Amino acid sequence: MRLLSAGITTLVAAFLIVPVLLSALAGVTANWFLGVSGGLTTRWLWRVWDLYAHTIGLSVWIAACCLACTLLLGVPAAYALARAEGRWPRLAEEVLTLPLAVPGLATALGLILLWGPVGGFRTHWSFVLVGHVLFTLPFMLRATLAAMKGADLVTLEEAARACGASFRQRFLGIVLPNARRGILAGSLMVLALSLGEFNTTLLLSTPFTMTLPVGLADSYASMRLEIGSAFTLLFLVLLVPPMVALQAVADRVAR
Amino acid sequence: MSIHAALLGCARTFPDGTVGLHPTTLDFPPGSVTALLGPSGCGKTTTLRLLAGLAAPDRGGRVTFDGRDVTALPVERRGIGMVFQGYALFPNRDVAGNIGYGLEVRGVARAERERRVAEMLRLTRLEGLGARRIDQLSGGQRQRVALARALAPSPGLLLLDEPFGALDARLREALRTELAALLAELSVTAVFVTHDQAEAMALGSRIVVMEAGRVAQEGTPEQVYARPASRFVGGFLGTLNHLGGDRFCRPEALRPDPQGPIDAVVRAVFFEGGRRRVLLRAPGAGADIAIELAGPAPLPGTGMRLAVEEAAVLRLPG
Amino acid sequence: MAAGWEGQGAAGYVAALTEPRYLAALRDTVLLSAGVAFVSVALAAVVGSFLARRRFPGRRVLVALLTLPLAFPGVVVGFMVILLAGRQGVIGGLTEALVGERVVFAYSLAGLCLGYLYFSLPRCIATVMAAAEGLDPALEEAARTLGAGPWRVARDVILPGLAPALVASGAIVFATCMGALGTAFTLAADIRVLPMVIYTEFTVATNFSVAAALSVLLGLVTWAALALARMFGGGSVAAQA
Ligand SMILES: Nc1ncnc2c1ncn2[C@@H]1O[C@H](COP(=O)(O)OP(=O)(O)OP(=O)(O)O)[C@@H](O)[C@H]1O
Ligand SMILES: [Mg+2]
Repeated sequence: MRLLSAGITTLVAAFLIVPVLLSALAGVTANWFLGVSGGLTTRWLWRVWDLYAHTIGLSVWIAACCLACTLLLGVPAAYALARAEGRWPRLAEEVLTLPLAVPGLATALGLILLWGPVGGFRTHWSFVLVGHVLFTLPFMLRATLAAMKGADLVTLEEAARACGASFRQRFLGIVLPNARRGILAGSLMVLALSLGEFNTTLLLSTPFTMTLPVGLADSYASMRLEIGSAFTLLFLVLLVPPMVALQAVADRVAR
Repeated sequence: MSIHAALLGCARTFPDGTVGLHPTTLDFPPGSVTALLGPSGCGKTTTLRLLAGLAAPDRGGRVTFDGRDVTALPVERRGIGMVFQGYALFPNRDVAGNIGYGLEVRGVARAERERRVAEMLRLTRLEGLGARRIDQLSGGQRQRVALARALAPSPGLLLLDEPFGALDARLREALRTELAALLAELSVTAVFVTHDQAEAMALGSRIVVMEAGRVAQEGTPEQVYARPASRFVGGFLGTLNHLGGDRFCRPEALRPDPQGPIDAVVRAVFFEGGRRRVLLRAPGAGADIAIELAGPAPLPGTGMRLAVEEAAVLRLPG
Repeated sequence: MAAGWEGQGAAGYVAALTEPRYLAALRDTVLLSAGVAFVSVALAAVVGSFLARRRFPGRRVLVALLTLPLAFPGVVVGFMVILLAGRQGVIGGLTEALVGERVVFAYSLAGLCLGYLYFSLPRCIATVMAAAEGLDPALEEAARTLGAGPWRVARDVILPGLAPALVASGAIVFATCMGALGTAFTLAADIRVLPMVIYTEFTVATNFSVAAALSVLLGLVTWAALALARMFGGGSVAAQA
């Protein structure tokens, strides 16, 4: 049975890892048809840079803004939820699963129908940002809330109170440091999710507010395979650091 | 059908290099009840797991059942019963489902299984609880389910790891008496781990005292208590008074005697129900001396002369 | 204006619930998502418990690599399927060399399944691993002392222990697949999944009310699946997202 499990694990690992390597490789081969023997080149990467640099810039910018928003909204909200008693927190946690149930497409439709006609909002990048914040906020909330609950914050705060700490001192000196792992994990998740968001963004974006994943879809549809691959490679380079950091944080929490 | 189990030169080194057990040879005669006693981390659980087959001995060590080498035999084929430290009851099965599991695995027919489970429920005084969920049981009931589960397939060797570890003192004592009666009735070879010397002496027909991965001494409770092989063993099994030099004695060997050779001063008195424990300071003794008194309590600070029963003095070189 | 919207909205719902092509898309999407959820959970049960229970060199790196695709957007996954099984894909090249015929299935149902499986597996594996690490090893040992072999242990101890995690991750995968647009978008597959239908209704046909009605329908189905999973002991559905 051990052999069978090992075999299945190997197959699944290959299935998940090989395509990543393939797309990375395809982005630097001169001609995919000829394979590596056709020579390696950075030509496609430069082409992608010329064509899509603005989408990369916008995606990074939106991800950063999205992180700022979710931190400002999510951390205080998680704190309130962690301290609240009664049925409200239960209800709120119920609501937290909603973004999973509501397809990104539906969120986008709702936003467009609601805000589309308002001034220049529809064509501004902040329109996309709103979609991203709606999508990622629950992840930040959930990660932070879990950390706060795990640290038994209520007791810690009572202890700090007994020592005479003011609210400000408690929040900055006790609450935030003890929830920092959760906040960090939530932040990395928000960054990664925002960078890769497609379902909502496809509808929210306009040709002038095209984000990286939308640009990727565009390149897959209209450019040659090597350019799509090179773009994917750039995207992976952007995405891997937060994901690796996330894994490291998770590892340290586990230990 | 109790088993004659033996460990022959079994050692156990963990992957990280920790030595859990130095090479050890131990014999467990059929029907014997052996207590593995020792402080935390001395290798009791390791010894038990070697017997069970949950861990393999380092190279060269052998485990035999009735003379047959079972070192390479996996746990599930050894036909043992084991009670785990935290009981390890299956949360997805009710009480009867837990007790009947070993029989189910062996393919025992349903009717026979139900009969046997009912018998075990009666034996462990759990009648009427067969359909209970595990999380609806008290600590003592859980302990009995774990015991019933281990005994249901009629194992030849019963292993118990701190069977009363998680229970309060009164319950421990009650269950100890129950288990002693049960083991006597079943005449199964039993090995149990404990760090409570009173439990070891009450339940074990034999005690193996362990220290830092080695057997420090083995023998009947009387032998080990009265003739400890070392200061460590003596101290672990009960209070050991240091009379100076290599001379030691148990509290029972000392009595107040106006003509006695030891001149001591009472330091403290502890009321222990039927009698009192008195701590005294004596010149020449390494530490306080403890004695037991039935009569009226002396006041701290008063002097008291003591006599010692020479035959009971233990000579234990450091 | 408001009244007009309402009238349109009602018509949209009527269309969404009666027109065969919408219903067919709904049915196909549900079947596809359920199938992918089942297969991912089954595979993840094996892989997750293997990775959680065995120690071998390079394990941490492997785990990190396996969880990396967690954040890949659907479009990228679709592209990877094309690289694997598309017209210029590796599988095509391999089969051409071996059998003399190019096997291309990226743009079919199989390709879509492969893509959905690709982004579902990491999430399931991570969830199962966390659950398997939380299992009490003494339970497994207890079963073995009672005579249970490896298969019995897997069936009687490990599987019941993992059940809540399996239900939870299955429900989440189902929900994610139901709403996934990117993969189908990139593959431009023959099979019409509901999100693609909604997208085309909205952009190409500018049929806002039908698009909205279908979105609500989609949301209801996924929400029901999540609620159902939570009812059946997957209490961690929220936590595991
Ligand atoms: N898996 C392991 N890896 C490394 N060292 C271990 C492992 N298990 C036990 N040890 C070490 O082996 C020694 C013996 O452990 P063992 O569990 O047999 O002690 P014990 O006598 O049962 O103690 P306790 O009364 O606390 O249960 C200890 O020093 C322990 O730290
Ligand atoms: Mg132990």
